[in-house]
Amino acid sequence: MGAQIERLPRLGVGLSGEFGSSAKGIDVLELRSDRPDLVHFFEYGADLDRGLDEHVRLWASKGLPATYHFLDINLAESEDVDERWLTATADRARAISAAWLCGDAGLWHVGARERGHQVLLPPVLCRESAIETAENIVEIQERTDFAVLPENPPSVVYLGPMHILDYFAEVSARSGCGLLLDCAHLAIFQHLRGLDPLAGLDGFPLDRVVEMHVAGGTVRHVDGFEYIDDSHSPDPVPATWEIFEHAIARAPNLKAVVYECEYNERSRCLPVFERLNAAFPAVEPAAVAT
Amino acid sequence: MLFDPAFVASVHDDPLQALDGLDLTDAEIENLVATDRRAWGHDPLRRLRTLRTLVDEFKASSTMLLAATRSVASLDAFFSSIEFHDAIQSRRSLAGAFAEFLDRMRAEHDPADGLLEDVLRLEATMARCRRELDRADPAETFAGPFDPARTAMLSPGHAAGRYDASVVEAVNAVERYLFEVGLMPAVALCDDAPRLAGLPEPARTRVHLLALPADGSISLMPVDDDYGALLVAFSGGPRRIEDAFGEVEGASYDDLVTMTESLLEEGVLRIH
Repeated sequence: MGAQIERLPRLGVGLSGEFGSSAKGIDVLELRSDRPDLVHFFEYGADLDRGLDEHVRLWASKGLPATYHFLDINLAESEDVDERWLTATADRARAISAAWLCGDAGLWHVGARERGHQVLLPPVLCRESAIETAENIVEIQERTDFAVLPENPPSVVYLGPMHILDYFAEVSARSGCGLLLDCAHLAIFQHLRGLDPLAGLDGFPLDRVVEMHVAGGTVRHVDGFEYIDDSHSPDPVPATWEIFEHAIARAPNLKAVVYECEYNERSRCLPVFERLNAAFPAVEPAAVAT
Repeated sequence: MLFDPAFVASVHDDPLQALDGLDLTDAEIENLVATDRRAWGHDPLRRLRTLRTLVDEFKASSTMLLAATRSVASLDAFFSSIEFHDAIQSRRSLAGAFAEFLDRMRAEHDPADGLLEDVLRLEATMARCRRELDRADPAETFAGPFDPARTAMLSPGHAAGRYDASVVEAVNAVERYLFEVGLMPAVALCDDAPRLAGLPEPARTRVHLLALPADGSISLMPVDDDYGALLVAFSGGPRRIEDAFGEVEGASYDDLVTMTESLLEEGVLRIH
């Protein structure tokens, strides 16, 4: 595990995107051109239906770094790891020279893979599910030759007895995979469970965290029930920053930080990009010094 | 539970009855009920978004049904239906379940001699073909030489059927209507909003249509009746070629051989 993580490249701070987002929201190429100091890679969210858009192809054609964020595999269900998904996903990830595959380790669909189910559910947080997720990650890594970083997914409902950090610690311990810690999603989980933002991080293998996500959230209410919506607005909630600051100081193998903000007004996002770059420079400070 | 508030209520009110028959332990049921019931309803647009995706594949039949019921709730009821819950529990395609739901609605609302039954059957066939095509393994496609003793089947993404000759015209009429109201969706608020009109009368004659892959999607083409009958004979799955011949009337054996060779060559049929 350690060797695999160490071989992964340091990418710096990146922008998230998906099919068509650069046309409708922040144009990643334009932002990179105007502020090369802020955006060092592009994390492209994709599924088999939509594939790659012209912006990510152009980005890749310039030799700029990218990662492939899947949006269509239920990592906790072995029947979802089929040949078609493996082949097409690996082909597309190679087409953009992705440094690795990553994505929410949840349920993107109910039953067979099909568009439009409108769900992103977390896995049932139990040991059996963690084992199956770990086995599937091992298989995907072996069959695609890409490292796979599972991400803690957002939800307003989590089922199962485990803390989500314990679940992913188990996944990593069993598979040897690196991890993607989404600080905003963790803040949502902690809020729902009535826990401190940093609860559970003391037992979490931060040395296996390769990538972190930061995004804005919005406190909402339904019939008096309060939750944080993973709205990807420009402003992260304070708990997200608290988790980020805590984790980054303890994550020696961190390679990438993504600010998920692609559908916002660009100017509203620049201060967060600046803050993230200050915390995580694209080039390690030691490397600059030498 | 994310989709159906009525089901959430029943789970919280009487979990043992609501979850009867499901493979859940006492601890899992306890965990489920311990979740704040208000949390399940945090996304009020989930049903509408999902409905939009489903309707996308059933544009004509959904529109014709809405014209009959004049009620969005009639389609929204899908998420509380037996078809929806069965699909979730058995992990089946939601599109397939939606087709079954629409068919039940059709039986309640369609005039007996209308076109809706054929329109729905056509859209359901195309939805099934899209999924077959998505899941097809190209390595399994094998044309193979003709041999009447061998087993053949329709290639993934292909389906043939007999429909009223006006069915395509009906679909086109609905699409024209949807285009018209789509130009300015706010017209739905108006008393004088365009209504679905111009649907053809049933032709009362039947034609064969072949659904087949084209440019990554599924398109339709009319086929001659002898070809259509031969393809329909393979619709039930793999079967011996000469057995399928026995179901085609009015074509000579030599003609059937020629047709089958042609269909194998074009990839409509494949050797199993």
